[in-house]
Amino acid sequence: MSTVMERPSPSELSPETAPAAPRRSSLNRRGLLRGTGLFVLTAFVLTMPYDMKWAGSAFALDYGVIIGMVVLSVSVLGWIGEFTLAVVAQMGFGLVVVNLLQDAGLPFLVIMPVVIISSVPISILLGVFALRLRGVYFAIATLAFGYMAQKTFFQSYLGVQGGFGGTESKAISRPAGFTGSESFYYLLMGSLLLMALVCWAVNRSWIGTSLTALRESEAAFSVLGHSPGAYKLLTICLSGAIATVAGGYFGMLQGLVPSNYFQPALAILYFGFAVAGGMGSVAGACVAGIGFGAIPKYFDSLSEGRFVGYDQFFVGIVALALVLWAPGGFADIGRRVWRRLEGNAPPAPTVSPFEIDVRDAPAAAAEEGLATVESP
Amino acid sequence: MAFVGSRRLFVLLTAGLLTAAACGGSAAQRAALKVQSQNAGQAAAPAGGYSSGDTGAAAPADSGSSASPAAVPGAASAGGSAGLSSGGSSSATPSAGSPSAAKSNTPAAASASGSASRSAAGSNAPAAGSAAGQASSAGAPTPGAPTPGGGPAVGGATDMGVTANSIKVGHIGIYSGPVGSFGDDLSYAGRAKLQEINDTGGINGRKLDVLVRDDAWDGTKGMNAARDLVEREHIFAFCCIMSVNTSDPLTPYADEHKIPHIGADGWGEPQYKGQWTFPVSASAVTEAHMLAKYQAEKQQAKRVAILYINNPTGRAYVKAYDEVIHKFGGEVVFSQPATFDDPGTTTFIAQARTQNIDTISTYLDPGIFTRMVREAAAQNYKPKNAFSGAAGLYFQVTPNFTGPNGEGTIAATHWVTNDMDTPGYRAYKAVVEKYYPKIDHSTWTKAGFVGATMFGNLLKSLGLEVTRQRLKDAADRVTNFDTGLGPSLSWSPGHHRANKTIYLAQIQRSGDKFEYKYIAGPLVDEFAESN
Amino acid sequence: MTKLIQTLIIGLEYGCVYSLIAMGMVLVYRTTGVLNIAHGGIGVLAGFVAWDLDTLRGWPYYPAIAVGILVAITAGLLFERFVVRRLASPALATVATLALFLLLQGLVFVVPWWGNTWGQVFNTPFADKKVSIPGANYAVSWDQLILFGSVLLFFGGLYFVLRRTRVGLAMRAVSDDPTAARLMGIRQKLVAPVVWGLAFGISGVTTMLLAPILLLDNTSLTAFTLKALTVTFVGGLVSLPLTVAGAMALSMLEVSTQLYLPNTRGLSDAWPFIILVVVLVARFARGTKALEDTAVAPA
Repeated sequence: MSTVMERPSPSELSPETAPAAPRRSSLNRRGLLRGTGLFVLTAFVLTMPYDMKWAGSAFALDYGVIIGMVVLSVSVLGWIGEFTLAVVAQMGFGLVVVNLLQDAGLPFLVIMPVVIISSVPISILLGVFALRLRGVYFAIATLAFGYMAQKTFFQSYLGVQGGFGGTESKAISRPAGFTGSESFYYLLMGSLLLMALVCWAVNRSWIGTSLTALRESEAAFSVLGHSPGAYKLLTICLSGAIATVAGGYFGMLQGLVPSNYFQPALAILYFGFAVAGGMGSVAGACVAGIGFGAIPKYFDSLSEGRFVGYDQFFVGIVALALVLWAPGGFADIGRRVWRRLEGNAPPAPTVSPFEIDVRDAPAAAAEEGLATVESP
Repeated sequence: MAFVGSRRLFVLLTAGLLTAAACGGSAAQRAALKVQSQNAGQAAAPAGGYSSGDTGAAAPADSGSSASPAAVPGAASAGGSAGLSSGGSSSATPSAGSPSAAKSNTPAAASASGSASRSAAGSNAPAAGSAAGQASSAGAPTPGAPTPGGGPAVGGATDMGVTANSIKVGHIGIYSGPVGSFGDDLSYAGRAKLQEINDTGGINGRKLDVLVRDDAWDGTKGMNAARDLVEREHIFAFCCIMSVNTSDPLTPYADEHKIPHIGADGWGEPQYKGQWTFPVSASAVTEAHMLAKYQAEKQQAKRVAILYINNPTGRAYVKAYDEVIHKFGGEVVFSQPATFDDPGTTTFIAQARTQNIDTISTYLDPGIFTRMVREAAAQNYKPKNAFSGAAGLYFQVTPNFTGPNGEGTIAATHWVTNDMDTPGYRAYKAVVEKYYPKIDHSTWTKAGFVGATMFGNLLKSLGLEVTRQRLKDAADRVTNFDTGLGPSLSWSPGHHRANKTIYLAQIQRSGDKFEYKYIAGPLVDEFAESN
Repeated sequence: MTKLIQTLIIGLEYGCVYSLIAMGMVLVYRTTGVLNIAHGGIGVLAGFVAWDLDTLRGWPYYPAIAVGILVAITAGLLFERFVVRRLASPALATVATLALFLLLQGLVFVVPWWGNTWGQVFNTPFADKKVSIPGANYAVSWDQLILFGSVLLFFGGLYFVLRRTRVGLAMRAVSDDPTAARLMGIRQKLVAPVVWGLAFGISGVTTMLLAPILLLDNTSLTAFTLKALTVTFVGGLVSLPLTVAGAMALSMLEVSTQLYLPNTRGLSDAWPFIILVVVLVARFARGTKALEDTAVAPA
């Protein structure tokens, strides 16, 4: 089972394969490059709404950043080698919670932590599935959950409240001072950066190392005395929190959302974005989400709506191209480009870190206690 | 090499597909474009704008409209008239834009207008600064025309999106996506009226610069378009948006930014709460009230079953129908939500038959409704009073879509029916079909037309001092606005449920085909809420 | 009694719908390890091609649907040749089917004259023929009978192919152990196209069978596909009998909820999830190898 590591672990380097100590000049160059890159990126992020004014409203960026959050929540599950189709359901619940709390008159700074906490029960429920199921089976379970959430809860019961546009509904409002598209962008981007930072920190910490080990071999991980369940639950809770917050922000973005908006098919789309970004990659997820979210909107504005109905078609083509020629997604492309800029030899192309061990399907099914190959 | 070759092939195929898509478009749309181009050519005024003898601008003969300034009390009629006579010379040559924003973007049309204006594909208004416009103003000046060097002021930039020569209007329609093929018609009618306003002199010397966008019936795309229109294109107001997924979230946005939306579709309840949104259609609740009353009184409906789309409006329809049918001694025996992917229509029919239902009412789109009717046909079943439904059923294609078993279906609509042949309907049809000959005349095409008519009349009533606030205030003072399409509409601050009138049409056989025929109306909803 | 018979008949009808879709996905998964998310999308494309020829261009019905199915099969062969074969793992192929799903859905919206309205009527030559069921106050159309027969045919046919034919054995061998299969002389490059062509062809046939009943519509067929996907869980994506059983169970529960508890909002839509939980609990209670694994390493 192959995975992508952010960096090779020390044990993988032997004296024969370890690179020679870099010279001072290449270190300076690398430092300069990284510093410049960081500066440019920061400047771009800070000024993007105004830089892109020529192309359309900053609403496009707002939407893109929210999709970035959603994609990040999907991508995070790549750390444990899983993927979820329940993310839109979690978004929907986030929207409901925000609307209820706003109706109760609570301020924004109270609402968001409560939204995060409210995501835990659903995350635990999904986590229970993750303990028992793997790969596509887990995905199917999340799909069934998402289906029920949309039809049973959002459409049937929560159509009146929850910002779902009913006879008694009140639009979800943005916090004071962030009502404009540009100002809202900074709130969203700040939140996304915070989420990304948390994810990056987790990934780089001993938790991330443990998750990598878990993904490599769950059995070995257990034998070493660690609890796979705990780590899986943690990851799923992190993913759920991000998705739920994203849903709350989406409600603030739109104000009123139709109750049939959070369909399972949308979850498939977001999963596609996550793969395009590179499952498990924080930066890749953010870039993919913002790119796939914002660029079509800007394109719609610039083209004056001529190609609005073509977006799924384009996304399909881009996704297919990435699968064929850059399976590691934007993250892998970015790594290779960066290494070239730094003057290093590009690493060997990686396959997607997202690996479901489905080849041994019948055996996997037997292991899960599901049907065996003897009964087709 | 093969790998590189296949990548090139992939890119070429993709580019080819994109090009084909960009240049594509149905034959119907190309035909409509051709007609529109011809009409645009005929309507083109000589360079120099309209002649001083042109009094069309003073009281443009809005087809079917009796909404002269007198019908809009509070309008600055004096100012309006004065303004009209000194109107500018904005070109009467509309840019021959494509009628379909998304599907067809004929290069010939763009070059015919000679305009590199910011008008969206599909805009029918010559923008200030269009080549034709510039040519006309650069030519021999006509009385009242702004001369290149300045000349007498004629209004000027009185508000965002307003210049001396133009008023920028934002319009969002459904041109693609799940309901694109009939959604575009809902937009065309309003646009036809706006085009006609331009062709008959514009608004007190200003032309409407209509910027059209497509939302593909998706609220996020709609709001992106709306915000782009406001923040980048700086439109003055929205007009006649017939896409509920956009109109609903647009309502609080319009309130927050104080941008009028005149002639909203009114399909979603949130629109009636907006202070800056003026829906023209009736609500599903009104439809349910009137259908229930009619079916109770005329058809002796006692045992009713309702199949509805599972959303808040659907449930409101059920509740409203139940309330009224109870007053007449009937009851809704059971109701069932329906979605695209469940056995709902089948079990509903089975249940209805078992429970001796005499009337089936629906809050559905034609697709699920057709499935239900066909299912009933397969079961050799039709309740005594056949089927009925909300305005979502009233499309010209519905009768033949449902087949013979749909005969007797009663649909509610908010305007005179297509067969009523009233002067107002004839006038509406003449305008709309002049630009879009193959339109399917439905509830919302008329709503779009009414909204655009009201918009034009209100603007004219403002004279030269066109501001958002004044437009909103004028709209809030409208009483008995009548386009000859049935209801008289009135708005007042906080009370934007202007249309409480329903007409009923029934699917009847006409030779070897089926079509809707008028059976009742106008029926005014006495059970409606006060707002 | 009438209601019970109606429940059984309508449940059987929609169970056939779910079964047909689910079996196609199980076939691909069993033989390639790929979850074919594009299953519904291919069917919709084939359906619209056939409808275009039949309704818009006046072709006879059978040649039109034959062309539609041929388009689906060709798409499967091309997809296998130019996409699946290049990919390193079934996981990536699953992602590729997701991309294909998006592309196909977008394609149907993009073609202007396919006018994706609320649905297109696509009648078979025996549209008005039906059979009354005595005592049920219900009639079954010939289209529904054909659907039922097709499910039996597909089920039996796939079972036979997978178990009794060399091609089927080759498919299973390649799926179980590609290296061993290659060593035994089975050429994956010959087997894989058969699998994908067959799978996409089944998808096309499924749409031809469903369109007369449900109307030809992108949105609803896709929604049915996603719902059928939840049913495949019952069979573990490998067992055809259990998949069909799960499909039948789901539809029976949905129909009985709608007939016996019509005013209970939302329950009908919750059944896929409830069934999934029940199956999971049943496996858990029965004891599995996975359970033993967790017993070794306490949480």
